[in-house]
Amino acid sequence: MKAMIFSDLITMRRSLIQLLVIMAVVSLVIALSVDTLAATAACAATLVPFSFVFNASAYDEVNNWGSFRLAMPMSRRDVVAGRYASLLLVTVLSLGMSLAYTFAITGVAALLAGVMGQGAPLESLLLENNPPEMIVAAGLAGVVAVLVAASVTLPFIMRFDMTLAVRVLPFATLCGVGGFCAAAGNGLFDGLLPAGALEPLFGSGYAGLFVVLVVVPLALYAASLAISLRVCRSREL
Amino acid sequence: MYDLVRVENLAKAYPGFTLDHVSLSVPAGCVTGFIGSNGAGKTTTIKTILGLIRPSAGNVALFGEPVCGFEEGGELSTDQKNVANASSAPQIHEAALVRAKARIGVVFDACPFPSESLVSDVERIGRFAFPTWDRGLFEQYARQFDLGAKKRVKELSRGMGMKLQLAFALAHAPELLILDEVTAGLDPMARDEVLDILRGFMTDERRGILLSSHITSDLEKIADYVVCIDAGRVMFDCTVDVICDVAGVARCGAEQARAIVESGAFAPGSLRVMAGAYAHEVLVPDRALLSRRFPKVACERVSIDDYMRLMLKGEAR
Repeated sequence: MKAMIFSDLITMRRSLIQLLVIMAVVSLVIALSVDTLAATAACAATLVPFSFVFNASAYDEVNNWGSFRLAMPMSRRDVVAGRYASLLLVTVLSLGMSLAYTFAITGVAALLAGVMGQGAPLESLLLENNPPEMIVAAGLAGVVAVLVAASVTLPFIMRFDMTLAVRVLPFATLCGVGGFCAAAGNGLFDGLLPAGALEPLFGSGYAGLFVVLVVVPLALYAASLAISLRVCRSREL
Repeated sequence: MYDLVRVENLAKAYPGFTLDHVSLSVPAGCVTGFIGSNGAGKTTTIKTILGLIRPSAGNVALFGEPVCGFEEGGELSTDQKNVANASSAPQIHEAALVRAKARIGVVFDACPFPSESLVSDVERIGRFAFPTWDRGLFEQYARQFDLGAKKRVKELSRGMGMKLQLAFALAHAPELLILDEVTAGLDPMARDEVLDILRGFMTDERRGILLSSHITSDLEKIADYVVCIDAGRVMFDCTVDVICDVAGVARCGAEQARAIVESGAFAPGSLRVMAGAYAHEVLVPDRALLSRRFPKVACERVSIDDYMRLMLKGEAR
């Protein structure tokens, strides 16, 4: 699996550097446009890993790289688990960098405010207007979005390849969301959870937030990995 | 002799194509040439050997260890045999396959590395993938092939891409090379250079090569055995000596061709006859015997190309 993780990171190195530059520019533009850093943190945390999923999967198809890689001493399990691990690694690093970048913007804003006094540019981006908890929560929310999206898309990509998966995914998403809404509308989920079952989670500080932002997405990601391992077992390359 | 690759009765069905119980082997110390027309099933067979495709029947053993299917007296555990019995298709034994792949160098018919990668990136990938990777050896081949470390894969010509693959395949000191059209796209000098490297590789008698190629003249220079496949079936499987040193092709008139066929000197079905615009070609399994029996008929040494053409298109007599 280690070989697969390094293979992904080496293959994607150039793209990752480009994505980081794009992330820095786009996040800054967003920060300046909306006068808050919540969106900046979320965008910065999301952009790189989300692009990584699709870029790495697309590279697998170019020149039959995916087939050739499996001719090296790696099992299908190594390839699938390695892809999930490399994405998780990129996501965690991306979250760290997005937070560092966002706090750096607040630092620049503070510096400008210190030098120029009241009315300085970027005043709205000062830490006092953007509490650290909000920035961290926004970054985590971005990561949740990536992990949930990857959990849904990766099994399709592993089974069908990128080209076919992008054709199947919208239909599958439509069916999934439509089915869920129809089921919910018909009261299928009524009484599934006893009233107040989630109250202990949200009544104890950050425990609920932790479950929602960390445990649930990771559990979903693990389930997605299990599905991908299963569907990839019989796939022909 | 110890077989580095042993394939038995490999079968795989696709719409419009069936790999029909293909068997072949690569003994240690030998080069097995794998020939056939486009779409004959060469790449499918190679991919099945490497576990990229799951066959519908058959066995594959690499370095004496079963990696696909199971066989009597094999090294499979009871659990593995139960799994294999539970399904009609043979199972791929991943752990054994991964162990075997660490000892194999593979070259596909097109450069497979991601187009944006540098030659130095390719080296890094190999370093993490192969436990026996030799960075110095890769750099030596890269210098020999004029592959600069900062060159991008997308900037390489087809020939240079093949050389990069070859450097990658050789840099972990494999015991077996599986080469799919390795000399395709190379100029004659580069082809000779590659063949020299392959000859150098074969100086160690524990090693072997499975070499799929359309350029049969290369096989005449390097192969010990030739396996020919057509429409998914093995058409012939013999040593190069049997083709180039023993067999022959007689180019003669229709009367002489008929006389050779009806002479009874050759076993029924062992001759191939092809009528041309100016002469008949008769492929005979023993040109010395033909010369003795028909001294006035010119019988020449046959190339693998002509042997394959006559075996596939000639009328069996």
